[in-house]
Amino acid sequence: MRVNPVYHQTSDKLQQELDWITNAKRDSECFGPLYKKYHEQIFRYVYQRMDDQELAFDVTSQVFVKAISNLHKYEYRGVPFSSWLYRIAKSELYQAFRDRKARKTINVESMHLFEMIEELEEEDSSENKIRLMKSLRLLKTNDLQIIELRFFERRSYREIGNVLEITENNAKVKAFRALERLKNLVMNKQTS
Amino acid sequence: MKKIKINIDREGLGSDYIKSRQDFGQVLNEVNKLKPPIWSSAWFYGPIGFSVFIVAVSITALEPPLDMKVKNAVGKMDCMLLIKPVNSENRIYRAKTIFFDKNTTLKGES
Repeated sequence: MRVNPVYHQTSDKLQQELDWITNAKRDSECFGPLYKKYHEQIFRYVYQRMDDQELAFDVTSQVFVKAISNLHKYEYRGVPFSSWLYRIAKSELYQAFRDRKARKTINVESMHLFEMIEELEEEDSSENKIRLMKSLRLLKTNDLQIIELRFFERRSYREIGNVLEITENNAKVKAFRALERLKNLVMNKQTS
Repeated sequence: MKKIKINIDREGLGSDYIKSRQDFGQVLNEVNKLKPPIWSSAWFYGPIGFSVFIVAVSITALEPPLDMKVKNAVGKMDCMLLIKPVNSENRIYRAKTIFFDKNTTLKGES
C-alpha cells in the first residue's frame, strides 16, 4: 500500500521546525510558519472525521489556539511537530462530538473500500461493500481510529505510532488486530 | 449501533481553498482571550502582593498598639491630675476607670 509521504521530514526540516517552536515559545506571533505549514494537514484530518465543513474549520482553529496556549508544555522528541498537533486535534474532535453535537463521520473513497475488501480477502461486490460499511459502524472507537489512519488516510505505521503515542511495532500489531476484528464482523454479517 | 455517518467519495476540498481559509490573526486573538487577566497571574501577585505586604507592615509599625495608646492617654491624665493638689493616687485610679468606660469596650482594668 502506498503511504502518504507528507509526514516524513529530513533532519534539516525538523531542526528548522524546532527553531520555529523555540521562537514561538517566546512570542506567539512566531508560531505563524508552523500554522501555515500544518493548517491544511490538520484541517484534512479533522474534516475526514466530520460532516460539517465550517465546524471542521472551527475545530482546526481551536487546535492551533490550544497548541499555542500549551506550547510551553511541548517537548521535542525527534518526531515532527504534527504528531503533537494531531493529538490535540483528536482531543478537540472528541470535544466537538460531545459538546457541539457534531456527527462522527467516516469519509471513504470507493477505491479504499475496494482495497479493504481485498485485504479482508472477500469478493468485490456491492453486497460486501454494504456489509463492510455496516461493520465499520460496529467497530470499537480505537479499532476504527487505526483503520481510518492506516487504510483510509494511508499513513505509515511510524506516523500512526506517533499520533497514537505507541511504538511503530505496536501500531502494526493494533492495525492487524483491528483488521481481524473487522473481518470477523464482516463474516458474521455474511452468515446472519 | 453508533450514529456514524459514512460518506463515500465526498467531494474533496482544494488546497487553495483551505489556504484561503487560514486566519492566523484570529487564532492569536483567541489565544489572547484565553490568557488570564494580569490580576490573576503570579506575576501580578508577586511584586504587587509583596508591595501591599510591605505597606501594611509599615503602617502597623508606625501606628502604636492599643495598650500603648491607653497608657499614653492615662499618662496625660496623670499629669493633669498631678497639677491639682488632690489625693493623686485615688484620682488617678478613678480617672483610668472613666477613660476606659467612655472610649473603649475594655472594662474593669486599672
